[in-house]
Amino acid sequence: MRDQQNESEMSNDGAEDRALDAFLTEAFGGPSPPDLSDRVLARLYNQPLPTPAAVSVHKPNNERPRRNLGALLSLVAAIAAALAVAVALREPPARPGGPGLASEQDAEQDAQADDSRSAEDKQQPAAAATNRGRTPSQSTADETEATTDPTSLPEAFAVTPPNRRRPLSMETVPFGANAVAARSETETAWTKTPRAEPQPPAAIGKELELRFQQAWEHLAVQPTAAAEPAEIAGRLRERLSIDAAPGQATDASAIARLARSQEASETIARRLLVELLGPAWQRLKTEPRQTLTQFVSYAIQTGQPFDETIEQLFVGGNLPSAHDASQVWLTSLAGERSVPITQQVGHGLLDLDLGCARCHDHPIDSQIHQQDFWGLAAVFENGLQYSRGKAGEPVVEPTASSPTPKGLFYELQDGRQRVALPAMPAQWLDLQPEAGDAPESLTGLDAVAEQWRDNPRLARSLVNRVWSAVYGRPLTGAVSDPDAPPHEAHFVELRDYLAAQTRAHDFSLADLVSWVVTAPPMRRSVVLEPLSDRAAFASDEQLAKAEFLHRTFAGFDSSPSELRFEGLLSMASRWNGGGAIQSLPALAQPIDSDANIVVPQRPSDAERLEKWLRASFPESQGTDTDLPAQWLASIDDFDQQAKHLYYAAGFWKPSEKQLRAATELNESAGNSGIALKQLWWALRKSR
Amino acid sequence: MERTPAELIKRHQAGVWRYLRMLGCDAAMADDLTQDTFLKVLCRKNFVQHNDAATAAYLRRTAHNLLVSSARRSKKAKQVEAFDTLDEIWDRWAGADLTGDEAVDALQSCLKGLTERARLALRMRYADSASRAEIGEALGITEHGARNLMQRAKQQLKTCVTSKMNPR
Repeated sequence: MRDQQNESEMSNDGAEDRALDAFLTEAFGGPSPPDLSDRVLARLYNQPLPTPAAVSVHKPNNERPRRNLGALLSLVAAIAAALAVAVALREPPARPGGPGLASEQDAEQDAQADDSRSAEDKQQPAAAATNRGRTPSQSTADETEATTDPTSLPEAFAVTPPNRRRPLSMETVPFGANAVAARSETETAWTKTPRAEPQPPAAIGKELELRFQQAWEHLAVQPTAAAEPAEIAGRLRERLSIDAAPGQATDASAIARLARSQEASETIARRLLVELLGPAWQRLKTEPRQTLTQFVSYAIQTGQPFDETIEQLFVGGNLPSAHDASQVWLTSLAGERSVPITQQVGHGLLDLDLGCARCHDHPIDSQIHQQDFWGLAAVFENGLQYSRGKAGEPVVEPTASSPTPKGLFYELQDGRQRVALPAMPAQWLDLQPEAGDAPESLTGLDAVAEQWRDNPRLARSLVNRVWSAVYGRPLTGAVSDPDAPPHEAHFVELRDYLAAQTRAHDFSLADLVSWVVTAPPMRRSVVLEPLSDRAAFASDEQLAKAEFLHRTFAGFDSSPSELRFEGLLSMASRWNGGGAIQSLPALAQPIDSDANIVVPQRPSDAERLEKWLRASFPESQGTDTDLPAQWLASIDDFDQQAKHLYYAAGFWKPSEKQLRAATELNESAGNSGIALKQLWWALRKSR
Repeated sequence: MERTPAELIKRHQAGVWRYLRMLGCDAAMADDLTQDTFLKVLCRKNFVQHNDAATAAYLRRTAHNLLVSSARRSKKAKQVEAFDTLDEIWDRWAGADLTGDEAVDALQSCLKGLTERARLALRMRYADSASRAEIGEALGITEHGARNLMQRAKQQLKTCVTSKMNPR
């Protein structure tokens, strides 16, 4: 503590001394603040810069000899250049369009001028820096003014000076508008994979059946028994408020019709928005939730293509409902900065595992680079306007593309800073350039929003989000997700097939939902009934088998939802021996023979739920010390591992409280591997 | 009061320039970064002038960041203290008029209160860039003695300027 205080005092003293040094230098007649108004205003309004004579130059005394040497070199260079041009003018004129001698010599002259400038730069860096207001050739001409009449110089030399050099900054190339604008002009040169022919629901159902059979055979998994139609109808009612008769429960056409009812469409919209918005949905208040739900629900009811709905959510629209929904959508996703929206859009709409790329290139997926993540973040940063509403709440709205887009600074893992210009890789949207020289990225949010229409990547992502909304996990998950289904080729093919049919059916959400809820997993019986005695007393082997059946969709997973993460963590801590469990009297404790014997009652639902959770809980006494995900082994530190698990669960910025909870879990479990599994258990169950 | 860009530059350029000098920039670099600071701030759409003090602080923050970025770009290690620390010191020296003019005036006045030897030592150091050995030789003392003399004189100046700038 004392050391820190001393360091702080030393730091203060150092800065204080430098302040005194600067003021003393000035008080003893050293450089004083110049009037830079004209130069700043000229640069601001892109006017010609003030003449060198008007610029006051401050230079230390010891730089004078170098300056004189620089001036001499400049004089020599100017005379050489003038002679070169004079020789060039004597030669016959070049043929139009051909690389004539004059142009070659012009180039040579430029090269000579460049050389002279380089020499000047090398010889007098300080003077070059102070003479920002003049171009190198102007400088050369000024130095020779005493001996040479500037008007007698060849026109090409006097009138078209080469651009001056400046250090690169955010306002200049390559960060400037010109570089970006040149690329954005050709952003329309993209093609998408052609649409497939739409198939009838019966054909799609048959295809789903076939692919699942193949997947299960390939994975050597025996699916559970077929469920009764009444049970399936009950599931549809419970999960999606689809009021289907038992006879309709497996009929995709009937389900699509029923899904357009108001109650069902609202439930579907709500469940889908939970998937699309992730943690942002949890933060939303009731009213904005209702606004978004109504907007998406209306799209389902009226059969509006969902790609159009997504586009409207990004760009708003003239209709008040579209405008309000867009504002809620963008505000909840973005908050006050562009990072959360980048991560969630990557996950929700692009089906990309972008979480890792915020800090480093993806360790497994070589297509995802940190530079691209920040490029997309810059697209949002420039395309969205962050402001505050009347009550001080953040409001995010789309804004017109700025002619001077800003780059975003980010840090590499080793702390070096880089800048990312607005650029979203076209491959992230499954776009292919029409021509070989077409740009590889999209730079404006309006251009990105335009590409949502009929986009194959959006269709693919939508399949996974709908699947997740119905079955609790996506058909094909991210590689970093410990809970993802196994990477099975048949699942991938199935996802792509459903995505193609989604496009073919004009992004009809009701149709997609009907295919998903009539898929084979819905027609299988439950693996382990959550609140049953069988589940409570299941062996580890049975639990592992149940888990695998769930992950391969070979049995219906009806585990209770709406569990709170905090409650699960507290439960985990208690089961690790840190809470009320150990404080309970031992069951074998002798009782007073006179006491009334209490007849055991049927356990309550809460007790059954706890038993069910306990059954799947990774015990601290367990011998299995595998990590929840293999990639975690590449991280040494427990805190970092816990943080990455939070990232994998969609918590892009875990709070101090959440991180502390992980640490406490580690202490109570006594084994970091088990603690990580318990943490993942709590995260997974509370999803 | 909303100032025009020209008025804004006139009002604050000296403060920004001296602040950059305090951060260790030479005069040429201070010139460049002062221009860049105003350009960056004036190009910002969301720039609002609440009052002179807030604008001055905003300009200083921008100048500080530009210096850090510039050092990073040129890959030169440059130790720059935390912005809050620097701002606190700047406030002590130039808080009254936001430009540092008063501090320079106060310093010139305080220099008169030094001994002739101390003033000469400081003049040699800051006006002529003399080394400590040269100063010691001129004053007939050792290099170590010259350093002590200047340190005491600077401490005296700090106290004097502080009392002039912040009278009780």
